[in-house]
Amino acid sequence: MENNELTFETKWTIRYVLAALGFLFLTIIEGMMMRISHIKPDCLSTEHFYSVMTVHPILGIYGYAYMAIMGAFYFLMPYLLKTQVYNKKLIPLNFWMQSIGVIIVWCSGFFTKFNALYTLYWPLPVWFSRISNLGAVIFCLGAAITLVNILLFTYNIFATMIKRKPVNGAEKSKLYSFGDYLKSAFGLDRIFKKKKEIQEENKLYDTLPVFVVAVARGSIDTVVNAFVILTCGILILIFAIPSLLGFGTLNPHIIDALIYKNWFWWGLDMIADGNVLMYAAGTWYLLIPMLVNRKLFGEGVVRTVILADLLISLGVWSHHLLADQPQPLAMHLISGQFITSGEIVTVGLTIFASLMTIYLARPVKFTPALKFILVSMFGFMLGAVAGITQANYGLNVVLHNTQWVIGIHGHTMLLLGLSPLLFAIVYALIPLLLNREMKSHMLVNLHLIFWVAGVLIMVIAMGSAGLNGMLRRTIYHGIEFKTEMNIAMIGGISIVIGFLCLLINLIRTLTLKTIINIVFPLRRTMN
Amino acid sequence: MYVTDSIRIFYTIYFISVCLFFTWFIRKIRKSDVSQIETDEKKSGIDKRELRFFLILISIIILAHIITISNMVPWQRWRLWSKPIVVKTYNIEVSDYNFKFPEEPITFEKNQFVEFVLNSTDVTYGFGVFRKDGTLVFQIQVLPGYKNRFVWNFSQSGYYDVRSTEYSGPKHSDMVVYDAIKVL
Repeated sequence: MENNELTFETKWTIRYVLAALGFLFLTIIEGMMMRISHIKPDCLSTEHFYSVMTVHPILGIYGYAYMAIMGAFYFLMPYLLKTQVYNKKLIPLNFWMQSIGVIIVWCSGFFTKFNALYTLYWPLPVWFSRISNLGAVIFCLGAAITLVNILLFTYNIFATMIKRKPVNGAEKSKLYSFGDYLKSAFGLDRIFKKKKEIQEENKLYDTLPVFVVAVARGSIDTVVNAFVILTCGILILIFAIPSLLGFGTLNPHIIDALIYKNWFWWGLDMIADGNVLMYAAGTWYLLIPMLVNRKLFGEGVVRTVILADLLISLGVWSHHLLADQPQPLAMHLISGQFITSGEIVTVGLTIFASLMTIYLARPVKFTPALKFILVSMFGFMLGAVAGITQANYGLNVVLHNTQWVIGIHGHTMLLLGLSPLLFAIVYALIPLLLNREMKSHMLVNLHLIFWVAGVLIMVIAMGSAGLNGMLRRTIYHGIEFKTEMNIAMIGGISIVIGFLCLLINLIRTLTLKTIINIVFPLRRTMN
Repeated sequence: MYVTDSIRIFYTIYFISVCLFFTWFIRKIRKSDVSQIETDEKKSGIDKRELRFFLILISIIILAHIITISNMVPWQRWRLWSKPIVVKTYNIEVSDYNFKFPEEPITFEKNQFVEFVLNSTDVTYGFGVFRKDGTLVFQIQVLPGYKNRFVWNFSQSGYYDVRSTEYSGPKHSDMVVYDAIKVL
C-alpha cells in the first residue's frame, strides 16, 4: 500500500506508534544507565542517577505507553463504533503536546538534574537546597502540558463515543448525553431504573462493544489521574515560581505531608490500578475474539468485571501508604489491603474469560499478536500476585521500598504485562492498517524470546535482591547485591536485543521510504 | 526462617505453577479436541466454570488475609492483636540527611517491646532496621510534621544497622548508620 493511499487516521496511528517506540528506546537507555550504576556506582553522579530515575517512568508511562494507547484508540474507537473521530484536529495536536510535554520533563532531568523522583513526596520537590528550583518549574510545566493533553484526548474519545458522526451510508445510532454515559459507567442506570424498564431497554453500556466500555470506564480513571496530578503540579509551581523569581520562599510545612501523599497517590494510582487494568482488559476482549475468530466468553460478566475494576480502583490508593504510621489503621486495612485484593478477582476473571475464549476456539493459529497476548496474561498473572503480596499490612513491613516492589511487581507488570500487550496491538494493527504481514516471523519469535527471557531474568534478580534486603532508590557503594545486579544486567541486555528485533522487523515491514514519508509528509491529506 | 523466606517459597511455587499452566495451555490449544468443542453459550448469566473459578479466587483471597493477619506473621501479634507494654521509648530526630539517636548504639534486651518515635524536621525519610546479613527487619516512613511511632520486639541479640528507606534527595544513599542498635 502506497503512502498516499493511507487515511489521515492511519498515518497518525503509525506516527503515534513510531513515537511510542522512540520513547521506549529512550526509557530502555535510561534503565540500562541505572543498571550499570548498580554495578559501577561511580559511573554517574548521584544527582545524575536520581534525575535519570525521575524521568525514566515519565518517559515510559506518559511517553511510550500513552502514545501507543492514543494511537491505537484513535484508530480503534471510530473503527469499532463505525463513526469518525469527533475532532480530527486534536489528533495531531495531541501528538505534539504529548511529545513536547514529555520532552520538557526529560529536559528538566538532563539540563537541571531535577531529581525529586516521580513520587514527588512533599516537601522534597520544593526543598530547593536539595532539588533544582528551575528544574521543578520545568518538570511541572512539562507534566502540566502532558496532563492537559491527556484531558483533551479523553474529551475527544468521549465526544467520539457520545456525539457519533456516522460514516457515509451508516445508520445513525441513538445519541445519549454525557450524564447518561457517566451514570451508566458507574452502573447507576441499573440501580435507578425500574426492573420493567431494564427489561425493555438495554443498559446503555450493554449496547457498546466491550472494548469501548473498557476504554470509557478506564478513561474516567485517566481523567481523575490527570486532574489530581495537575493540582499537585500547580501546588509545586506556587512554591517554586516566587522562589525562582527571588520573591522569597513559602514555608513548605504549611502543607500537610500526609494529606498531600493521600491525594497524590489517589490520583497516581488511577494509572497503575485503574486505567492500565481496564485498557488491558478491553484490549484482550477486542483482540482475542478477532484473532481466534470466536465470540468472547462470558461477555455479560466481563462488562460487570470492568465496572468492578472502576469502583475498586477508586479505593485502593492506601496500599502505597502502608509504611506511613500516622495513616489510620482502618485505611491501611480496608483500602490498603482488603479493597486492593479485589483487583486479583477482577484481573483473575478477566484473564479467565480471555483464556476460555482462546481455549474454546482451539486449534488456534499462533499469530504474532496472539503470542504476545498470551505473554501479557502470563505477565499480569505474575506481577499482580507480587503486588498483592506487598499490598498487605503485615508483609509490607519487610517489602516496602525494596527491589521486590519495583522488580517482581512493577517491572513485571510493565514489561511482561503491559508492553507485550502494546506489542500485540502493533502486530495486530499492521495487517489491518497496511494490509501486509510482518516481514520476518523469525524476528517476531526472537523479539518474544529475548524480551521475555530478559524481563524474567531481570525481575527475578531484582525481586530476589529485594527479599535479601536491597532497597529501591538506593545506591550501594559496597559489594552487597552485586551478584543480583550483574544477573539483572544480563536480563537488561536481553531486553535490548529483543527490542532491536522488533525495531528492525518494523522498519523492514513498513519500509524506510514509507516511514520517512509518514514522518515527513510532502503534502497534507485529510481524507 | 524469616518471613521473607516464606514469601520467596510461596512465590517460587506460584511462579512454577503459572509456567506449568501456560505450558499445558499452549500445548492444549494447538490441537483440536472435537469431543469437547462447544458452541457459543446460549444461556445468559454466569457460566458454571466461571462461577467456580470466582469462588476459588475468593476463597484463596480470604485464606491469604486470614494467614497474613494472624500471628503467623509474627509482628501481627502486637500490631493487631494485643496492646504491648513498651519497656523503653527512643525518640529519634531526622534532619539534614542525619539520624540523631538518643544513645549510640541504642541498647536494650531482646524479647522486650521497644518503641521508636521518629520526627523529621525537613523532608520525608525512611527508617529501616537491617540485620548484619543485610536482610530487612522492618521499615517505616518518617513523615515531617508527625510523630512516626513504631513498636518492635527483637527476638535475636546482636548488632543492627539503620538505613533511610525513602529517597530524601541526592545524598539519601549515604544515610546509613552501622551498628546503630545493639540487642543484648
